[in-house]
Amino acid sequence: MAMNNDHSRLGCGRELDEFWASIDEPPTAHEQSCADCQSARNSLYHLAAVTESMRERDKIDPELQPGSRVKEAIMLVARAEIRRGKKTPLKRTSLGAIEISEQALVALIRFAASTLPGVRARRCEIHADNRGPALDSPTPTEVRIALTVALSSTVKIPETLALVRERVGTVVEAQTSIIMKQIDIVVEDLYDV
Amino acid sequence: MDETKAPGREHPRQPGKDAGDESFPGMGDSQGGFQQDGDPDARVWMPLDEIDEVTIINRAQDGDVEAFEWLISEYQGGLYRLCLRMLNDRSEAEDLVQETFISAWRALPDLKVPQAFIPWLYRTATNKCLDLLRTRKRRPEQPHDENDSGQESAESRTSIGKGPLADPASEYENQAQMRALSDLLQTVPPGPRACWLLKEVHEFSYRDIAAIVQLPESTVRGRIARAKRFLAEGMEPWR
Repeated sequence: MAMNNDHSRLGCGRELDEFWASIDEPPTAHEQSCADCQSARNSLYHLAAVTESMRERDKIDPELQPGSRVKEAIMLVARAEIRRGKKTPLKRTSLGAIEISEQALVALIRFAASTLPGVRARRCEIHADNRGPALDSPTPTEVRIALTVALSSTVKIPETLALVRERVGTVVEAQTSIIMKQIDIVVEDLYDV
Repeated sequence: MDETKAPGREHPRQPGKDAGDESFPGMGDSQGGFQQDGDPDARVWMPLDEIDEVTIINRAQDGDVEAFEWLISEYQGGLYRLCLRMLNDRSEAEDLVQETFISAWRALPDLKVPQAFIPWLYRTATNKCLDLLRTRKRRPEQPHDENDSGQESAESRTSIGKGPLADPASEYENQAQMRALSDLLQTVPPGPRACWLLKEVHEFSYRDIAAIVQLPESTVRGRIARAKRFLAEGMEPWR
């Protein structure tokens, strides 16, 4: 392949990158009469073909996959380092306090919201009064949450978000006795069904 | 980013697939979400494979280990092959994939833009490869003692991609050409090699690659053009 001193240009002065971008198109009038371009086209076309074969073969070649120990080792660390977050007190009894981790509460909220068709819960922030209820108080803990969601483009947003609030409030109260004082929801994305 | 053909991704995803198309019964946990289709009792499972990737990354950011595990399954192969073609050493490539994902788990909560997660993975892995190659250059390899673990190391540093060969002659030639390209790639300097791999094998855009290797886009274009020229010339005997 004839090249000039600028390694990114062909001998005829044409940029190699521009040449590569048009490799699947028919040769231009210049290319048909230019020996540098014809030679480069053949070389690059050959390289493109081998590269494509390699790219596709690599994905399925069992020799080019990481061993199972890699994921196992990563997950071992991930599970050991789970971020439980702050604890929200649920109840204080004479035998001690009952608390729920932020991570467990977020998982429950995400689960509750995602039970609704067309709703994919994303991130959730929890704001709780960490003092919690007084000893043996029948007053439940109240929290405020900020939830982000992606919704199906086919759902009616106000009605769906009203259902999300109701579902999250019901599930969380049933499972933890926590009352949702405020549920802020941000619809980040709409996805196509 | 095109959801069906994102750079670095192993398997194209089915666009816009929602629960109910292909669902199975069961109670949901963080592996997805379950859905009701009209009937409040008809709850169906939504596997992570059918959820958009930003949602999965968001869940991993909130500490959902199953979402994180899904991301590992989806991207460990691509990262491993990038590291392998950079380092030509299987065990070092596996170690770097492992380190990259562990760093990712720790960095995820603070990631501001979830769409930046995949380029972030590739940037971290590429930097680790380049650092390791610089260390290797400063400290040339010692000849192996026959009695030590030299044999294992030699096995781990064999030519990449020696998969079983199919019988037809054309398949043999095809395999031989891929092996020639793979070997030739090892002679390209690490910087241009990383850029070429990210563009031609992992299918990132020039803009993404510039962000991954933290160089101007013009430098990336130049590096890739030079690598292409070198490889095209090196592959001439195989035409």
